[in-house]
Amino acid sequence: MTALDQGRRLLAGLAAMAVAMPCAVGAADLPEGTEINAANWEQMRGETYEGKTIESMVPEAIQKAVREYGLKITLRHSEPATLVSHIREATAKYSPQVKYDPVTRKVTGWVAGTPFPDAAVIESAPPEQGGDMVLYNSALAAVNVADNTNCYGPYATLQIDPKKGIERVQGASASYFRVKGRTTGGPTFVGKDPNELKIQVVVFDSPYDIAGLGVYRMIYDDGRLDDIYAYVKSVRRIRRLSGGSWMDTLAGTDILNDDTYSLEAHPTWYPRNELKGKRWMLWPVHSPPVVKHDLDEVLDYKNAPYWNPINKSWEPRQVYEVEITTPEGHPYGKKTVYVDAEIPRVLLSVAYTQSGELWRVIYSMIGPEPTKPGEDGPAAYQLVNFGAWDFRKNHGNYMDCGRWDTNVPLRYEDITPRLLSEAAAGKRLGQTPQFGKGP
Amino acid sequence: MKASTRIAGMAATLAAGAAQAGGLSYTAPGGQSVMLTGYVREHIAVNLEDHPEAQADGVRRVDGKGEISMLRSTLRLEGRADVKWAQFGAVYRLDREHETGYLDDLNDTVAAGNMIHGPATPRHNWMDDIEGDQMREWYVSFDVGRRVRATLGKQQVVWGETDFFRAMDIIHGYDLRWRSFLETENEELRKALILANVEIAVPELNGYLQLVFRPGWDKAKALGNSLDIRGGRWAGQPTKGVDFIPLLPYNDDHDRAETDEPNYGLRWSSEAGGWGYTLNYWRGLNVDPVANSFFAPWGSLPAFNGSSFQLGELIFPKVETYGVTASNYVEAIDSVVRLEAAFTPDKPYNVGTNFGLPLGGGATLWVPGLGGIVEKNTLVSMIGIDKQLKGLGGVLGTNQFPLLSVQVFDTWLTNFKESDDIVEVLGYGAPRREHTTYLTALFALEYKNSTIKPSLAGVVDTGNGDFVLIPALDLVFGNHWRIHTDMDLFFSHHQKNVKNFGGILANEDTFAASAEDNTHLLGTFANNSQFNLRVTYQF
Repeated sequence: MTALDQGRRLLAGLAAMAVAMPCAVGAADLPEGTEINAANWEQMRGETYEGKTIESMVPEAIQKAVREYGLKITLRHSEPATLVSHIREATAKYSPQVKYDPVTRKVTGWVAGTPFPDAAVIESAPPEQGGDMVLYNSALAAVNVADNTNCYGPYATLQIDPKKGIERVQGASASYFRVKGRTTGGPTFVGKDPNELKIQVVVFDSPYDIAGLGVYRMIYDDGRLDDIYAYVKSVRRIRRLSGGSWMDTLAGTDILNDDTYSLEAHPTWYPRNELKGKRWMLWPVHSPPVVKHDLDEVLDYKNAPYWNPINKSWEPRQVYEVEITTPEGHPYGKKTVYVDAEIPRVLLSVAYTQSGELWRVIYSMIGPEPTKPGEDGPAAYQLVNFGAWDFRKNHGNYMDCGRWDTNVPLRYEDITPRLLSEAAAGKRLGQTPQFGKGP
Repeated sequence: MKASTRIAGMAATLAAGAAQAGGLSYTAPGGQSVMLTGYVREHIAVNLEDHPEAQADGVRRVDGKGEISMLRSTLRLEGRADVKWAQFGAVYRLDREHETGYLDDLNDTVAAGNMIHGPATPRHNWMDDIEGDQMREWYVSFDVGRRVRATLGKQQVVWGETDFFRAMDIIHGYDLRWRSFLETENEELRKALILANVEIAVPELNGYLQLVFRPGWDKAKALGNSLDIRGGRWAGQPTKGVDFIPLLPYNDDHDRAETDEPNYGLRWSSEAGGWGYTLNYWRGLNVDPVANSFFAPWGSLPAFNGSSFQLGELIFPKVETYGVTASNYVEAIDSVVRLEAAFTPDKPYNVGTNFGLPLGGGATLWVPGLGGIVEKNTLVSMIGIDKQLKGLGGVLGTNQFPLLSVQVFDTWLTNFKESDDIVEVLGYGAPRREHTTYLTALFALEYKNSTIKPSLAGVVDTGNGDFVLIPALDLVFGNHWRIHTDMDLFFSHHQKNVKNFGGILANEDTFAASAEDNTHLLGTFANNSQFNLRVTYQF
């Protein structure tokens, strides 16, 4: 045996030890319920949970929130997602016919369900095509607000100064209606234009100066810009708004319109969506159900920085990391979104300036809807906490629709721009009066 | 001041009860809800220019630069109840004004002028025009089946796509006496009417049919525009301190302008090729009054009011208007395009640009427009473009994209004849033009999560270059406090002035052979520039 061979064996042995190490550490995984916070971050970052190091499962922007803004991460075991069978069946039935055209970047053949459920298809495609497919899954699949949803939130939007506390509170009610890709029975498509995808209606009812202000948004699946109407109560008129405002700020908040649900935009509005890879990320997906929906049940608004989510259980999730290149005129230079690999939802969006500096975190913490009678699983993974932290401006928002009424009996004919003026005249969109106390 | 104290007391009570940003509200377990919201507001306006008109003594001018022209306290209460099968709404507003020194001067001048009409004509307190309390709205909305939604009661129904001016927004008149056209929220100026408003969904044709019926139950004063023609702070130069109502009282019973007769109309709203459009028809009263003169009566003779100086009467003649509007986002120019056209056949106009009454000694009281009424076909049209200036947002550091809205508004008398001798504004000798075209623009910025909102608006009369600039700033503090401040700057190069004739102040054309003929609409606002501050506590 030469010295060289000895050296090689030694290296191989070291490599074997290195491979074996995680298993060794895995044996000393952190226990469920462990809290990771600013004080123990340095100690915890190298620890493992379910075999992965903590640091590897916390994106840098969230690490910053832990270290500098007091975000606390409470660990919970990972759990596979379950969905009601009519969504799963739609995916199984229709996804084989879905085609992605790399030239036009458009999708054909999608009817309902998740268009690209096969991870192998996404991961074997060139990264810019895989990224598109991940975003199509999020944009088209019905797990977001199910087929239709009403909600009413007396504290729908909070404006937060992380040094001083809550500045303003806006109340709103909302209706979301899925025109295409319906799975709850009846036709999968109920609209007029075959590319109508979904409709969002939000009407504010407080404070007084914006009460009655409503926005109607028709979203299409073929890449055309949204049709947007606003009812301005002070002039009592419905006005057409610019479809180009998808990249404008959402009414004085710290998110852009395409940051809604962390990402609400057609994939082709961005010149390139590059799949950077699949990774593990700690994220609240199966938090304890919110019961009363008092604000202090979901948000630590009484203590600085007044914006941290509470009562959340963070579990390791496999996510696709997609880097989105923004088009000209868009305020962000780029944004990175983290899309759950199992539940086609964007969990986290991290926005950067044109010069690449970290700007904003737009987070969507979700939970399964309670299974409805006669169904075999949750009809949706609804938002439990949604908000934005603008690290550059040192300002944030928390947005909450209070309680969701999933798959309430809404009709396509009911969700029209006229709903805006009706709501301004006092008709509340949310059906269920169960909401909690605000700040 | 007593009134202000009362308002403040009510506000404190309400504020104490308001648990959240949304005023007082209660939601029943079944989802029914009631809500009481509103605001307390203080308006302060200061004159930025001297007014040339004479005071009561006929010698001193009104002047008033730097003086407070408005000190106004307002309490607005808005109640809503949703009982699921129906929604109820009501709006109450209480306005109290302090009679500032400037207003006192105007009021004294008005009262002195009233004396000439003799004891039969009461001395008018101009303050009565700008304060009071009113149930501005009360209505119930409910669905009938799945297609029909009805709203019954006193309400505002607004049609059209136009800003600043009005083409199809003609169901209601506006009260322009306390703040002219400058209040941003025009719901505060619009005079609500008792209406049956029924919207019928027609999904087969992708649209809605709206039927609006006014049974004629409103008080006469609720109809038409209320203009400041009693010599108040928004009276057009040179009529501050001059009360025209004894000379031209309103008549709500003229046979072609009866305010208690039913009015009705309909609107079809739909979409074609991405364009939202409406087709409108309204049979109602002309929103601007016209003068029915004793010297050239139109229809019946003016009703006599007892003053020997009466010249005629003001009426709101019945007219029919056909309109079309459309709007769309046009991706090629990344802008929203708004279009509107309204055609009124036989719309009445006053004529007689040189109508005058000899006063003796070579003096003439020129009252252009009292030469009668002529009916002309009128097409009002508007094209507006709203554009977000995306690239400018980063440069100016705004939190929203800056908005630029530009609009051209034209009034065309399609069978115009110069020989008709139509006046543009009653009382002014400037002849109406075949086209009266205004260019308006609004540039709006938003900073700091939209809590600091500067804007600049402008209106130009393209026919003569007179213009208005309105720089404004809106500030948002928390849930309750709102501050709005603006300046209304009038640049009227063509204006009817008041001159000194041997110690007596009189209209510049008093001793002229013809009436002053240069003052168009914006010219009547000459020297009326204001600084305006509005502080609101909302609940």
